[in-house]
Parts: sequence; C-alpha cells; structure tokens
Amino acid sequence: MVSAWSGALFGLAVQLMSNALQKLPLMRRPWEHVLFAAGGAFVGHKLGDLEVELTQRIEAHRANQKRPGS
Amino acid sequence: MVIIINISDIYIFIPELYLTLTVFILLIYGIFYSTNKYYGYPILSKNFGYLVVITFTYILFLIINTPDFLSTYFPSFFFFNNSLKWIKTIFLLVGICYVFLVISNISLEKLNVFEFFLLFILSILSIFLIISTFDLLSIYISLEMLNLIFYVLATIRRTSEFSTEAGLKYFILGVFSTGLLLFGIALIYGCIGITNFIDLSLFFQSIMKEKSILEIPTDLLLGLVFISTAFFFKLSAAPFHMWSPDVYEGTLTSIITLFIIFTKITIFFLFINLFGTSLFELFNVWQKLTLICAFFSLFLGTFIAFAQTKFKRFLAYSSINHVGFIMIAVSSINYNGFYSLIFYMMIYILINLGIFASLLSLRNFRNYKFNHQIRYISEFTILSKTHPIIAFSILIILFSISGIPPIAGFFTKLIVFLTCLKSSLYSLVIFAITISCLATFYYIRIIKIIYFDNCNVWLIYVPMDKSKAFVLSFSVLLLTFFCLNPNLIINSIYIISTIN
Repeated sequence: MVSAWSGALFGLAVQLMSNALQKLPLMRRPWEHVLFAAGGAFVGHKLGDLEVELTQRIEAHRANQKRPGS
Repeated sequence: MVIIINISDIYIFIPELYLTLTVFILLIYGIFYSTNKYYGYPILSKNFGYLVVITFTYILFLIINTPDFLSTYFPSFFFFNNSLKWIKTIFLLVGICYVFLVISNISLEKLNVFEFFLLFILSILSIFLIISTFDLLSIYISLEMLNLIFYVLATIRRTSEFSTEAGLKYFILGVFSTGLLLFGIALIYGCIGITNFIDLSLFFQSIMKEKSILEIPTDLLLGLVFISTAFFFKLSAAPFHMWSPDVYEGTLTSIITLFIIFTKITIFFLFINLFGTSLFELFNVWQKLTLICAFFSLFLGTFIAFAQTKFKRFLAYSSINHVGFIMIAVSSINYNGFYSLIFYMMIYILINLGIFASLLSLRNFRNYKFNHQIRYISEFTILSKTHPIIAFSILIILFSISGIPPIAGFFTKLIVFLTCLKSSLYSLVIFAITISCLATFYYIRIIKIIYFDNCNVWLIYVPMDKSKAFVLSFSVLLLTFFCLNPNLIINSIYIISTIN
C-alpha cells in the first residue's frame, strides 16, 4: 500500500513539475494529473511486489552461497 | 563453413527481425509518401518519430515476454540470457525517451529527413547485436554496423560545414580504431585459431594452469592490447579522446545525445562481455591498461574541462571524466565491479537524459524563423530569472554529476569507490576522490553562472515543450528521491549482475 501511494505521489509530482517547466498553471489539464497518479500507483504497486521478490531471491542466493559444498 | 540455422535461433531473434522488418516497411512508406505529389510532398519526420515509439513499445512487450533461458544462436555468434533481456529493455525505454526528446527539435533544427529515425532504429538493432555478441567476428560486424550509422548521423546536416568536418573527423579516426580492432582479432586468430568466446575462455583457463603470464606468446598479448585500445578509442577514454570534443562540437545536439548515452554504454557492455568472461584469465594484463586509461581520463577530463567555454565541449570532457570513473569500476571486475558498473550507467543515463532535455529546450529565441541552440556556458546567466524551474532542475542534475549527497550521483561514486577498496586499489581511490572534489568546482561554476552572475544580454528562450518537460521532470525527481528507497534499483542490479 505504501509503495502504491509513493508511486501515485511520484506520478503527480512529475505532472506538476512538467507543467511548471512549461510555465503553465500547475493544475492545467487535471485529467493528466489523475492519469499520472493512477499510472504511478500501478507502477509503484508492481515495483513494491518486485522489491519483495528480489529481496527473497537475493536472500536465497546468499544462503545458497554460504552452504558448504555448494 | 556451413551455417545451420535452427527454428529456435529465429525464435530468440524475433525482436531483431522485427526491427529489421520495420526499417524496410518504414523506408518504403517514407519514400512513397514524401515524394508523392498528390499528398503535397509531406514532411514525415514527426510521423516517423511516433511510429518509432510504437515499434519500440511493441518490441518491449516481445522482449519482456521472451522466456528466461540461456542459449547461443546462429552457430554461437550471439547469445541470449536473462540479464540481456533486461538490458535490452533498458535500451528500449531510453530509446523511447530519446525520441520524445528530439521529436520537437527535428523541425527547430531543420532536420526534416525521415531517414534520421530509420537510422536510429538501425542503431538500436546494432546495439542489440553488439550486447549479445559471442564471437570476435560478430563483434567486428555489429560494431561496424553501429559506427557506419553514426558516421552518417554525424554528417546528417549536409549543408553545414561544421557537421561535415565533424563527420569526417569521426569517420577517419573511427576507421583507424576499427583497423586496430581488426588487427587485434587477426593476431589472436592467427596465434590460436579461435574466435568464439567460450573456446577462448577454455583455452586461456587451460593455458594459465600450465604457464605464467610471461610465457604467453607476445602476439596474443599484442592482439589483446590492440583490441582494448580500439575499445578505448570508441569510448573516447584518454589518451584516445582527442576526437570527441571536436566531433561533439560540430554535431547537432540531438545526435550528441545518441553518442553520449548509447555508444558508451554499449561499448562498456561489450567490454565486460569480452574481457570479463572469455579473457578473464588475462585480467592482470587488461586491468593495467584500463587503470592507465582511467587515470588519464580522470585527470584530463577534469583539468581540460576547466578551460571550456562552449557547453558541448564541456559535456565532451565531462563524459571523458565519467568514462574514467566507469573504467575504475571495470578494472575491479573481479569483485563487484560489474554490479557497480551497471549501477553507475543507470544513473549516468538518467543524468544525461536530464541534461539533454534541458539543453535541447534552451533555444535562444530571436524571432519565429530564427532561433538557435545556446552554445556558450555564459549564455546561462539569465536562466534563473526567466526559467527558475529549469535552472533548479539543472542545479539538481549538476549536483548529481558532481556527486553531492543525498542525490543519486553520490551513491554511484560511493559504490565505485567501495568496489575499488575491496580490490585493494587504495591509491586509485584516493586519486579518484581528489579528482571528484576538483571536478565539483567546474560543475558548481555553472551553478554560479546561472544564479549569481550579472547578465549583460537578455536572452529569450523558446518555451519548453511537453515531452521534454516530462523527461526532465521524471529524471530530476528520480535523481532527487532515489535516496528514499534505493533498495529496488540496487537489488535488481544485483540480480542482473550476480545471479543471472
């Protein structure tokens, strides 16, 4: 849940900064903010799952390396 | 020699085949439409840009859905494994970002030729071939394919004398380095009759059990020296860097982006692929060569950059400095060198995307017909007043390049230094830290110009377009907030480099 929220915030921040760089009002085209936040939440959620999976793989790999004779 | 192609070879090769087919179809489409009187001879550059994005997205899905396995194909000329799948994915994502960066500059720079994007697709195809190469001959062929495309791209503005000069310089010196590469390959083949990576690896493993490094034939070592010198030329590592500032100065900024981001990363992957696996037994020889080049790159890249007034030349020397840092990571490959190398390159890509997004958007606006790219560092003076957000983005990116914590660039240098310390290269670490501190000066000098210098001339910049704004904001925010959760990138790089 935390990763999804972080992703949503990141997506929103990208869109806000993008508008600021173009010298547009920050909330210009609000549907894009929603789109970016939703996209960011989806990617963040997926990356959160991926992080857990990667950590498990690395721990398994390290445990395998420590095993004598492996 | 009879080459037998299996159906499974073609199955692995589908993304590359699809890219080739796309080039043919787009070429026919471009020629028919752009020369058609009925449609009014349309300019197809932007249209081609979007078609490239669609193509890359489709190939991205093709690559992601390729099953995980390790295999060689086309009689061991190329290989495929899980790491390669992810590296290709990264190249495609960066390719998509690159298209978004240059798509609006095509008309601004009056580069209305649709062939530009076709050459870009071909360069991605050759990059795919280079990173999956598994034989000395396929190295030569795929590397030459990339170089030929880049020679054409360097001279794509045929009416400009600077562009022609840059292209010619690039061509002559590039051909010289290719000659060195071919000579090195010929020496190795002439000496032992092997070109395949696995065969080379097995040969050196068996020979090093019986003989010391001093007993290895001189021709073989000379071949190794020639091959590595050719790679250093392509990487523009000092003392083989003399071509890069001149070529970068004469070439269009949108094409330099291609040179700086794609070429260097590809050659480093190739370097690791060849030297880290098949020639690993000769580590003592090529590590010394790499360390010498790393020393010169750090030293010259830093001190010559002090004197630069033009932004493109400054970027060229800055990239030479970075090559020095990456070579330090390469030279400590026996421990976690590969891991730190990939990490450094990921952040290097992000930094360069940010730099070029801001540089490409900063065009001095005089009127609607005439506006030009800013050339001198001193032209940044007014930026903090007219475009404070772009100025702040450049500040973050420059802090990241110079390695100021807690921005991502700091972690890359930290990991490279830690890797070096594990390899007991203490004096090199001390030297690199000193150089890094000195290099900070010339990055901060630009920040001083942006924020504190008085402006003599008021420049008006062309407003930034949406695609560049998106790429710039994405890279700046990722660099800034990387420190909040670095585990994901660090873990995935660990998986790519160590486990896969």
